[in-house]
Amino acid sequence: MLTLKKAVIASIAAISCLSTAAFAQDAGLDLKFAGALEFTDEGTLFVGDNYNGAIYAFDTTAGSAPAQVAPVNIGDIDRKIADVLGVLQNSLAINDMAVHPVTSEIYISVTRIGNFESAPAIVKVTQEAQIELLDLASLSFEKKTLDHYPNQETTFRPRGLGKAPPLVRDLAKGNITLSSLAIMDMEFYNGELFVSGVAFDNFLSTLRRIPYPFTDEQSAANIEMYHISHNQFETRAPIRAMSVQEVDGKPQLVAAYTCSPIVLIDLAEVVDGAKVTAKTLMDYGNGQPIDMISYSLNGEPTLFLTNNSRSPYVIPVSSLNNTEGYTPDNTPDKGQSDLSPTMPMGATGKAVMFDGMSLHIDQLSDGFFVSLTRDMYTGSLNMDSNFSMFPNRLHNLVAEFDFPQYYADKEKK
Amino acid sequence: MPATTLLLGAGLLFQSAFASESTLTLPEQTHANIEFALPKNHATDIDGNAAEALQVFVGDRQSCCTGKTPIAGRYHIDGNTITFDPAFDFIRGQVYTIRTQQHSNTADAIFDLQEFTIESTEASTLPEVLAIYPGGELIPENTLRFYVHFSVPMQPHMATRFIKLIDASGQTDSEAFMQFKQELWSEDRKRLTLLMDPGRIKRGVEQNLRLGPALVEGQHYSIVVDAGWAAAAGSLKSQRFEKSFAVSKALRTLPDTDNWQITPPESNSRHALEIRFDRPFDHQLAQTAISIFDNHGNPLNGAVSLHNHEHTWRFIPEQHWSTRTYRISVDARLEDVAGNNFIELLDHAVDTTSDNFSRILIPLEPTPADP
Repeated sequence: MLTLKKAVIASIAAISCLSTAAFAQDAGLDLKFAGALEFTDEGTLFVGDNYNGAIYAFDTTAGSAPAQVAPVNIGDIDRKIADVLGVLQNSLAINDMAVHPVTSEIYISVTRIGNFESAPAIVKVTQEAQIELLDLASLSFEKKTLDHYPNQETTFRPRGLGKAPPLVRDLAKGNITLSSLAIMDMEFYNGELFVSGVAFDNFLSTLRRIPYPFTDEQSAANIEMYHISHNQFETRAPIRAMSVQEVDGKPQLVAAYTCSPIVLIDLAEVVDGAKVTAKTLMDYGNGQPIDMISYSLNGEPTLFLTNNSRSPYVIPVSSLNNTEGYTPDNTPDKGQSDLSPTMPMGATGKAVMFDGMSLHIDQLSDGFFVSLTRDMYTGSLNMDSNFSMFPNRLHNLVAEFDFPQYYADKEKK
Repeated sequence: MPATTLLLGAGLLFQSAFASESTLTLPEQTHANIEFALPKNHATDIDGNAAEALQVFVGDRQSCCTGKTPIAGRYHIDGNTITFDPAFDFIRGQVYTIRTQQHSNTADAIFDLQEFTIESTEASTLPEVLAIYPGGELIPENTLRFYVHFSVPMQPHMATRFIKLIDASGQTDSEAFMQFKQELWSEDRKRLTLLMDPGRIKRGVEQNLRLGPALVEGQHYSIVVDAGWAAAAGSLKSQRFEKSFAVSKALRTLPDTDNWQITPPESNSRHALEIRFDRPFDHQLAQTAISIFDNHGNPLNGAVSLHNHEHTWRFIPEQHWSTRTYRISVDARLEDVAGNNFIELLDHAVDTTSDNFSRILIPLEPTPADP
């Protein structure tokens, strides 16, 4: 019988009643979601987990480089990944894709939807175009829990178009938590991992900066930017895609937002607790960026930016130098959509042809991009490798050159 | 459940060296492995080539297996048996095809295709009442709730038709339980809460005066769940279930943790912390209303169970107990089987005043371990 005195606590709900609630004490891998992917130069794999609010670093450095990087093409890749995971393709969600910088294997993070629960998985596509499940349990890993992580309850507020009421598809957005955007994109640069996404509180759009190998240190800065087509300063919607580039003689983050400004953030300003105002360089007017690839085109540093509703853009990094940046004071025609003659605004690069729509794209080698491309005509999702100097993809096109008479006539002359 | 084992291969097809039969064990649970036992003289051929000899594909045998990638998993070889441990649980209702190699020589390989599907549990499990709580043979006159636990999700809106309270003479009391528009089902529709009509329990209210209490001290009763209640899925129906009990004196005092016997566990062990109550507590609430916190205020993970007809609460922690002081936190809304919580009695006079507190904290010091 216990003799210690009991205490009665007045009405406070300070401690949870759920003793069985998940409480991190398991030394094993507790990954709940495999989202954004990023590699270090040596091939350590970062995986963003929006449920646990953490970034995992897996040791995938064991492989070696192929003698020559082969282009990889796999039709109906979603069905084939589903085959490996033991489900049908409608039970699969593809979250991100990244190419291993050493082995050139293509890593794809997915969610496998089971009868009652979903599970994270990462598959890799080998240079022989084989799809393999990455055995995460066999890899050593480190876990970095993010500070200021948003709660898992707040959801988006559905809206209609203008004064029109929201449709069923719009209302579905009301079931999505803000924390699903907590880890949007990751960029490893010079021993540090930069992570864009939303954090807690009113000032949601955040850029995190985490040294790797992980230490106790991590910084989170709030990012504010002037959104030309919305004609307002925005602090909530997060950076969707980004890349660190040398601009104006110093390392700066080139960051793309929805609807659809591109801004510049001086890395020196990204310190813990700072409120950083980014420099707005350009705006397409509409659309949601997906991936930003840094590559070399004709010997010049270049960005390739994909979008869920526009053609990809090819942006010479040199065009970002010496720009004044747009503000409400110097922007001639504010608050315009892409229909306006003044849009796109700024040094936006060139929109280029790309047959179909890229769900995710990355650089496979010096000469190739690899993309998960949705075919417009069949709806199939295919992995294809395309020349980075001409990624247009001609497969579904019929042009003058496809007529045999063209060549016959040419020979006659 | 015994796994299905198939004998494969007609010996006539094979050269003599491979003529005997192999056996394939199909999974019957979503998390089960697949075993493929080869004839003994075949065993050496599979070393290092297990993935060729046994593969599992999504889809039926007609669509197998050209252009398909097998399901990922791990292989274990033990003697002449290959075990395939899939990376993920199988999906219920999904058709899978197992491809086994019946010949070791790749050039003449003969494959056998075998389909399997793991049916949804609900469709194949017989619906039955697993238990009714409170579990004791003697329950207080003012017992408020009964919980009926089923083996599978059940069809709703059937409770009044199938569940009865019967007294010792066989008379049915059709007004014993509260009738709501919505029955009180758990989310998985496997647990039904039956609420005794509080009007019958609370003294002096109209129902109590007109009909008297449904349960009377010293009498014997049964709760009967009649046969024929269909499961929510499938066509199977339940068997009759009866729980008999006698009725004891009403519980009309506030519960008090001072009347609990707490047996502290031994430090450096994962021994159970055991609390013996002075009365039976609500079977459902007692499983969540008591938590253990460490000296930093973090809740302990562990397994809670109830024993001795809701008189004993047991907690086995996931981690070893330390020598530090823990706290047992009891939600003040925890109710005994008569619906009395730590703040007020269910059946109290209108002008009763009560303290307002949310939880009771009891220090817990594990006993020193034996040297």
